[in-house]
Order: sequence, then C-alpha cells, then structure tokens
Amino acid sequence: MGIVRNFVKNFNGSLVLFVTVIYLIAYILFQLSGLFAPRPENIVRVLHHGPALAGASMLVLAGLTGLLSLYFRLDIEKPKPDAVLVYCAVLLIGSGILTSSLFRFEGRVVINEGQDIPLLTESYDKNSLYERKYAKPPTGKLLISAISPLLSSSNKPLLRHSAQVLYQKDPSAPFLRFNIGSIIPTFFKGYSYRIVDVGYSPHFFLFDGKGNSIKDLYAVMKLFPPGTEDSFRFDMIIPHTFYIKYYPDASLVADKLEQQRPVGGALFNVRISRNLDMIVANSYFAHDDVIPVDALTLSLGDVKKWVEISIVCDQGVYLILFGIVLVTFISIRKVIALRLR
Amino acid sequence: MKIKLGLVFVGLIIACLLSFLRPGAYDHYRFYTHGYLKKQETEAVKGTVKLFSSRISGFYSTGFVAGINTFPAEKMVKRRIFQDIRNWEESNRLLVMDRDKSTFKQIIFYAPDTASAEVDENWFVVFQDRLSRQYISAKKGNILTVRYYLKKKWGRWIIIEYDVYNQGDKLPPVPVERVLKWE
Repeated sequence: MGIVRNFVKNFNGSLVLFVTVIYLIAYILFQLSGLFAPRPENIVRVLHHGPALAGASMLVLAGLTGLLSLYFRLDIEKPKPDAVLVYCAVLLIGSGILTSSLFRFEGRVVINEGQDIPLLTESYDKNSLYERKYAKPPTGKLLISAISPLLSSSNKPLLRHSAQVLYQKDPSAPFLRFNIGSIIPTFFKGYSYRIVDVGYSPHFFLFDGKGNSIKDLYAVMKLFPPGTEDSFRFDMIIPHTFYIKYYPDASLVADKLEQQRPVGGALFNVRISRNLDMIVANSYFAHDDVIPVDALTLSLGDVKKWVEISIVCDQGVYLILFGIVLVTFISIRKVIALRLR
Repeated sequence: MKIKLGLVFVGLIIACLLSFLRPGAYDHYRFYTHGYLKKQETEAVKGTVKLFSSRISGFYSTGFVAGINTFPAEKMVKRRIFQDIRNWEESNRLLVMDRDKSTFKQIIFYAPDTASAEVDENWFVVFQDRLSRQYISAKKGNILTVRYYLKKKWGRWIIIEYDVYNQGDKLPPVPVERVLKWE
C-alpha cells in the first residue's frame, strides 16, 4: 500500500496525458480519413472502437491518479487550480466515452404526415439501428401531426424543417405534444429527436386490364427538393421499375411541358423500365392520370410528406461535452494569463 | 521539447499500428494506395458487367436457365428477370435482345468491395412467337445508359442493383451511403 501511495504521490500525469491525447486524436483522424475503412457514420462510433476505448480507459486512469496525486501532495504544496481542472476534464471525457460505449442508443424512423408508428425494433431503419450492451430503446408510439411546408412561397426548398409530434407512452396514456426541428435536437423523456431528412410519399395505384386494383400504397421516396429522382418497385408483383420526380408546382417545369398540357397544379415526371427495356420515358403526368404499363395501369394519387427522425439516447455524450467545455475554459484562462504576462 | 516531440511520435505510431489491426483495414489501405489493385478490380468489374449482359440476353432469347449459376446477379435481380421472362412466356412471346454496343463511361469504387459502373448500351429488341420463333413485332433500338451497382462477395463481383436511363440524360448522384449499406 505504501508503494502504491508513493507511486501515486510522485505521479507526473502530464506526460501520460499528453501521449494518450495525441494517440486518441490521431486514431480518430485516421479512422475518419477513410484510409483504413469506409468513413464511419459519426465520430461517436469511432470512439466505441477497441483502441479508442483503451485510450479512454487510460484517460480515466490518468485523471484519477492525477487527482489522487494532488490530494496526497497537499501536505507538500497547494494544488494549482488548472491542474485540478485538467484532471477533472480528462476524467469526464474518458468516463463519457466509456459510458457512451455501454449505453448509446441510436435509430432512425421514417414517418408519413398523419401516420403513427410504434417504437419497436422493426420500425427503425435496420441500417441505422445502433444499440450498445446496456442501451434502453424508447417505447411508446409517435405520430406526426404536421410537417412544416417543405417549399417557401417562391417554390424554393426550405433549409430548416420542423414537425409537430404526438407521443403516447401506452394505449391508455394521453398524447403529449412536442415540436422537433432539423438543426437543434429536441430533448423529450430522456431522448433527443431531430429531423434528418424530408421528402414526399406518392400514393401508387396499380390496376389490372379490367380496372381492378392489384395494389396501392404510399411509397416513401426521396423526391425532395423538386426535381430529385427516386425509384420504386412493386416487389414480387411486377418486374417494372418506376423512376419518379415530383414537382408540387408545375410552373417549375413549364418550359419542358408539351403545348397541350395546361401549366398548373402538381406534376410527376415518370420513367418506367422493365429490366433493360425502357417502356415509358420522361413523360409528365398529373395526379390521378392513367399511365399504361404493358397490360396494367398505374396511377399516382395524393402525395404525403414524410420525415426521417433520428432518435438518440447517450448519457456519455453529455459527460464528454462537459469535459470539452472545461478544457476550453482552461485554455482560455491560459491564453489570457499569457497575454497579461 | 524533445521529450514532447518524442511522445507525439509514439502516440502517432501506436494510433497507426492499431488502425491497421482492425479487420479489413490493411486490405482497405492497400486498395487505395496501390494503383495496380484498383486497375485489377476495374477490369474485374468490366468483366462482370459484360457477363451479365451476355447472360441476360441468353435467358430472354431462350427462356432457359442454362448458365444461371455463373450469372453475376443478386437473388432479387435474378427473380425480377425470370419473373419478366415467365410473364412474356405466358403470352406465348419471347423478347429477343441483341446487344450492339457497350461503352463504359465511368467506374467508381466507394470501398474495395463496392462499386458502380455507368455504361452506354445499345440493344436491339424484337418479340418472337415462343413456339414458332417467328417475328411478331418490328425490331426496335433500345439506346440506354445503365448504372450498375456491384458488391464483391466470395471473391467475385456481383450486380446487386441497376438503374436504367435514356442515353444523354443527366444522371442523378449516386446514393453513396445507401449503396455502402447494401449487402
């Protein structure tokens, strides 16, 4: 015990901290560069790699040992406030990374305006779902009651989006209302919500030769901003691929329309291919127009807006942010002190 | 100062070594820093697209599945193609496709195992009666640009999806994030 105490008392944390911080920053930059793997989703996922967690553990150990060393040396010298703050910041950042690696939950859901969706595992985009060992996914149901206009009054795409959300914990509970945006996350019941994408869902109708409905559904498509193309298939039913562009205001493509089509209302640009055979090419159709598809008929009805919402719960990120704020504060203090000298 | 520089060097070396130790990291690094590997894979991608084109025209022209094991396509792509062929057969028709010309415009690698290839293709298509093989339609030229999305699986490139455009159309940007997540 005496040996350990002497070691801790004489511990010079600054060199250990210095090499650990250089190592962590270098590792993060190497991973984000795309040289060793495809670029990751975000920096937090890089922090959950084994080497980054080892660095975080070193930070925690160095921070704890440093603070203990200052405490054991109280009889020799009064600790400098900056040293205490640095070790605290390092401890916060290291423990934040370790906490995040155990508790982070991240997922994205796509919801049409007016649609409700239960917050179950299968509701999330499976490629976006990221759950660590002790993550707690949200429960309940979300309903999007209103999505802000996606276009301005002059038909330009808006850069900021917002939506009104209703949340119900269980069927017997009342609905709770909150708003979410695309820039700043909204915190609600321990989770943060943010709009990451918006678009349109056209209503596809497929009819047989006699006019009987075969299938109809709202297809979530990336058709925003107007003029963006996305494709859709009736998988397992017909082999055709439908390439769609949506113009909420036909005046956006007035110069490309044939003379006989009146300019007004919303329009779809439709291209249909059947494997490598192009059967309908770059034609414009309005809502409910009948589009021949070999022996079948396609029609595009009303269009709903959709939002993709990112739902995140990560207590570790707050510790990391607090540690970074502390480091920034110490740095500013140092700079001011140097300038005064 | 010297000690600090030395420590910076140590930190960088450790970070670099541990980056290489991650699964697939060395192969990824080699692919992007060794030009000959990229050239090799470019030729492999071209070979895959050419094989896909020749096999698909064979399937449509005969209605038989000979060569399906070497057909470099994902299951859903195969399903779509054979669903189409069966639909034509039900109306006693065969769609005979002859490829006239293919010109590779662009091949891009998003990862060592993920690529897209944009190809200008000129096809001639004609319908024939399934039994008598008589022409029942006029020969039609089909001038397209096809963007193929490929993944390397079990050592070979496979087409997992493709989009068809009119030649001369401005192609939309590749949804890179979506393509990288395809399996």
